[in-house]
Amino acid sequence: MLDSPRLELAVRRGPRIVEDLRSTTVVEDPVQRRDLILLERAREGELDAFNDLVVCYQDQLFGLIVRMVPDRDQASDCVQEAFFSAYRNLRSFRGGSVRSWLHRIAVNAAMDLQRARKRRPSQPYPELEDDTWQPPAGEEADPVRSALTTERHRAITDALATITDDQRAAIVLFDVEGYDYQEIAAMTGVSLGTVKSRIHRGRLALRDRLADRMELFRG
Amino acid sequence: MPHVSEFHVTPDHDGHDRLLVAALAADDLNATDRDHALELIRSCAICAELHDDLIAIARATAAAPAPSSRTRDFQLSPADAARLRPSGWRRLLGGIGAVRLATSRPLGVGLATLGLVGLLIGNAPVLSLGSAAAPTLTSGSAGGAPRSADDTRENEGLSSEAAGNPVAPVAAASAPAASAAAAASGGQPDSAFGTETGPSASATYDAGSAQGGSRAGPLASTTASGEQLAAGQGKAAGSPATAADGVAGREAIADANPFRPLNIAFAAAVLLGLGVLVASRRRGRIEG
Repeated sequence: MLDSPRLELAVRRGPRIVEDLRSTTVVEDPVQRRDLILLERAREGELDAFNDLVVCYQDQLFGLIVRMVPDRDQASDCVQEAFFSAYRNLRSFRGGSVRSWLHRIAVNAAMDLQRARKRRPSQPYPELEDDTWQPPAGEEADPVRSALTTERHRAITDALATITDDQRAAIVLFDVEGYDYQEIAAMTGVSLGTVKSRIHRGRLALRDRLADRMELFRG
Repeated sequence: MPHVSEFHVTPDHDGHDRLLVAALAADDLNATDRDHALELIRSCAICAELHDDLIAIARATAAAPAPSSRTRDFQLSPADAARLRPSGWRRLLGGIGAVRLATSRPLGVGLATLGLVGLLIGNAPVLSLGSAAAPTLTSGSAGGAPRSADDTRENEGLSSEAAGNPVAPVAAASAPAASAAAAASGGQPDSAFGTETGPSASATYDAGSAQGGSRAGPLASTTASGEQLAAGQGKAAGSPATAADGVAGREAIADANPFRPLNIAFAAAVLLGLGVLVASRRRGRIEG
């Protein structure tokens, strides 16, 4: 991704524009610097620059959203809507991490979708469709170990799909994406205490749902 | 001396706080709660197992890969870009909404609060008099709580005049006793009231200000204070009316007009403040 010719071109053009965008801060992180350059070019109307950002982040965003909205089609719609919203609101980016900005937009798109689904329940929560997916084989590709890992992941994913949307979002953002409580609170628009409570209650709910499969996780 | 725990842990696990154990597993507790939780998992095997399970689940969740890979390319086409590019009024709104959240939220809260406080303070006398001193008036404007028998009796003499006024339907509706008495008077339109008295003006008020020939606004009612009512009753009972009474009544009505400019300004401030708050909330969801 980073090796694409377009991105190289963008990085070469970069420093002056970065300083335009963040007049007081010099960005050290090359990824963030690249993102800011692309964003600034997108603001100037270059669609290719925005699409470079999309290429950089679409897998990440889909990986995040598909955990929150386990139906893949709906998750795809959310991610697409998030990129639309980001493009529409390029001017609202005020510096900082482009990744966090995109994540925030995507998380809010997912939460909107879940709220809308609650208001208009049309069908039961869909089953996860991708039963063929297997985690990549590690160095120790022991079949038993691999089967156990797969089973554990499946159990967690199934259990995650059954807890409340808010709890799932908080757990995914905290445990999987590695955001801290403060960031999650800012992202989801709730208080710090609510975030903690959602995570604690969500884990308790997961444990209740996994009660008869806990041997997969012990030891 | 053996260590004595300051926390008493009941032997029954059902009474134990699972959330406390969950918070301990997430390392979210202050010193006191942490001691309590540690005591809990030390003395209760089920709590200890729960604690270990929660940690294991958190680890497994973090290690779980994304359930599936994307099936779509999310890059925008030039047509998408053209459709999404803000233009016209959306560009204008974007410019207005570009005020930082740090500014817009307090601004919205401030405007809404100012407007509410202004409305409350500006109309406080009206409200208090309307509810306490002049039940008849409030019933008139509220559309129909029945008047007390005493009230009715007191104003019966006035009602004959008031009910003659064809433009006091609320009064007639909300005060059946008064209407009945009025009906006996023949229902002649009383020129002293004039036809500009609004539909919500109550019978009692009309009686009070009748001889002043006042022009009550459509909703004018509640500031006709107790004294004015008393004055009105006096007049109706035969005391001579003065022009000053009429002027005072007219001023009172003017003050009571809920559509006076200040009220409109305060109401606008409330609406504007709420609008800014909603806009800033929307913006907070996309702002970087």
